[in-house]
Amino acid sequence: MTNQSFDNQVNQKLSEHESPVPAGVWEAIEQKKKKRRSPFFWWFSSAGILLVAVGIIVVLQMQKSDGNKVAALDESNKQTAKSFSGKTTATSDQVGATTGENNTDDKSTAVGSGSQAETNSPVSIEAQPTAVDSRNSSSTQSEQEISFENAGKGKRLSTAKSTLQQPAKSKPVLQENTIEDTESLDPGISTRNFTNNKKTNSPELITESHEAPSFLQRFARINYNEMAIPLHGNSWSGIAANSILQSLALRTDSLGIVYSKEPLPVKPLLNKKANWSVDIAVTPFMPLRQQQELISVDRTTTTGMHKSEYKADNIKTQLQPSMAYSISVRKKVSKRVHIGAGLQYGVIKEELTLSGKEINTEYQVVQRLENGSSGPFLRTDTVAVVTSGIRTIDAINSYRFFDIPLSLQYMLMEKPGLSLRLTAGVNLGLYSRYNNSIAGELQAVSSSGTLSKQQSTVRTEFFTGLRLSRPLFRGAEIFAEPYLRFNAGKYANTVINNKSVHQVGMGIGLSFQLGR
Amino acid sequence: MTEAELIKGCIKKKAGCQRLLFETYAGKMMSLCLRYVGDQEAKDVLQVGFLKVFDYIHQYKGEGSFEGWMRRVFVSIAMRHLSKKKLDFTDIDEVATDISYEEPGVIAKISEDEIHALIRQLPDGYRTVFNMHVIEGYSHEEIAEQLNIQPTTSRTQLLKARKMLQGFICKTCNSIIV
Repeated sequence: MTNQSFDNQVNQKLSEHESPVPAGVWEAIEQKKKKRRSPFFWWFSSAGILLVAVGIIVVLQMQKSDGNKVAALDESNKQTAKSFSGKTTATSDQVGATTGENNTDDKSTAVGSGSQAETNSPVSIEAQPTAVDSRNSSSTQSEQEISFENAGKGKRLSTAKSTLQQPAKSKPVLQENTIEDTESLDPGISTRNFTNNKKTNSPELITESHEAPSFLQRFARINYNEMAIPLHGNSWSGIAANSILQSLALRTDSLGIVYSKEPLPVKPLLNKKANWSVDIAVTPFMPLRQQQELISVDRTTTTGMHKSEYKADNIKTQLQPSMAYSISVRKKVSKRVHIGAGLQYGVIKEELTLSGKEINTEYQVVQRLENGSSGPFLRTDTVAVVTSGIRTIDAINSYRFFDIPLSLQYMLMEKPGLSLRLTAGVNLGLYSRYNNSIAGELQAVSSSGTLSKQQSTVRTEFFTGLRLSRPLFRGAEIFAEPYLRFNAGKYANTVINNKSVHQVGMGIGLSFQLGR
Repeated sequence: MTEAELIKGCIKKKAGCQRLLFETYAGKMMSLCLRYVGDQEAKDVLQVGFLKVFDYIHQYKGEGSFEGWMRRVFVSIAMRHLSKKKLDFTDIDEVATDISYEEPGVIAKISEDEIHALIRQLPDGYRTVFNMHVIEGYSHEEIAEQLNIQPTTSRTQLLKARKMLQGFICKTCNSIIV
């Protein structure tokens, strides 16, 4: 009898053999099934609670933000109804005579002499705070509140109606700003009259020739609420609101790499493709930052006959809970170790409020009639209207990032239906500069100097997390992974100006085993 | 209920299907466990094995028989238990037999239970290799990998196990004849 024949006979005898099953085995199995549910249940319950909590915070913050905007709008509407009154002063710097043969005799003809002329009636000067950024009509920012206060000696010089350019649907807040009062500031030259009101397109000459003394000062308080527009139908276009904000935060996430479920304990059942898995994850996270405080945020805008200077020295920023999305592949390289790589996209949002003084200077060229030795002649003067006020800008900066997480996973524990893995790795991230709905550019200034306007930057971060997962259905499993991402670098002179952003989050997702 | 429906129900974690699966295969799996480990350990392996089957049944791809897949799961778990104690793969003195094993009908004369019991009398190393190769169909390379031994050791252990088992069977047959 050959060995093969013997083996076959033994195999046939035992292949269908059954042994009596001890009592209580099934009951013991059922008890173990219930016990094993506990750690998984609590783990995912914690993850769920965290997710819900983050969601609630986000919703509440959104509601709060909306509420503030509504309040701001209401406030602005109330104040608008009160009418705008304030002192305005005008400076008229003589540029040069354009007519009259006796212009050389006039004491005011010297270019850049800085002599002042009084704005005797009839004077018509339009203050157009919106003119600076009228080109930015696509901006969603809104100017909600403008009020004027007396800045002079308490002497009312004029009444003004101001108009902000706005869409037809918008409620008119200000109409026109026309100086009607003809009271003279300087009795010595009160006899001069404006006989013409003409704008020219020679801003350089005017700018260099005249230092506009603040005759007319208006203190305006302007709030920009970028999100308020679509909500309330008030879409102010053209406000010079190049906002800015400084740097921001960045983060990253979740790392998506991950791990795969332990294959069946029987090696022959696995094929090579089964060593590969694809993970898809959604990662709510909270950015944390280390920041070099900003000293100010400045902006200077010169457009045609208008110059605007803004310096915000009261800066408040707050990072918001954010979300990232990732997809990654990983390979099982040994029984306990997986390596992986992926791609992650996310957005970090930062809510900020800037407040500071803004000075707007509007230059206008006028012709006035003067008496010369040979008779009256027309003289061309430049009139500067200076308005100043406190501008408050509310905005949300969004920083986008694309990450390539490279991870290594080590299985710490594996039980039926449950596995725990330690994840660690390096994150290569490309971060784009902030983006918000307020057009324009503000220049942030810190103690280390002016910060960069770089459009993007690459950074390296380190992360670690614990992934708990369990089978969901054939070839798929669900996982929850709390993690910490740490950035050891400095962001000076990069797009993420003066900030070092870390993050704490919870990756939640699905893992699919390939080759099944 | 067909086997496919039973498997589908177990994937959905239906308690009734799991119970039915247990009742269907518990006897055969218990027999398998007893061939590898002792009585008490076999009970533990049986419990853990079914828990594993319930957890990983979604990984059964439908290739090959489901019972074969289950057997591999249970063998894997039995191996874990055996790995806790050092298996002895050294040669053991041959069992002397005074009856030739050339009679083809010898095995037919003994029952399945008797063969099962005789296999359990083999030393751990012999028994493990014999079970894995002859009953479960593992190759010597697979056995070597799982037991962390050389393939040649597996072959040697199989030869010794087979010869010893034949001796046990001959003894049993003699006693029957007598």
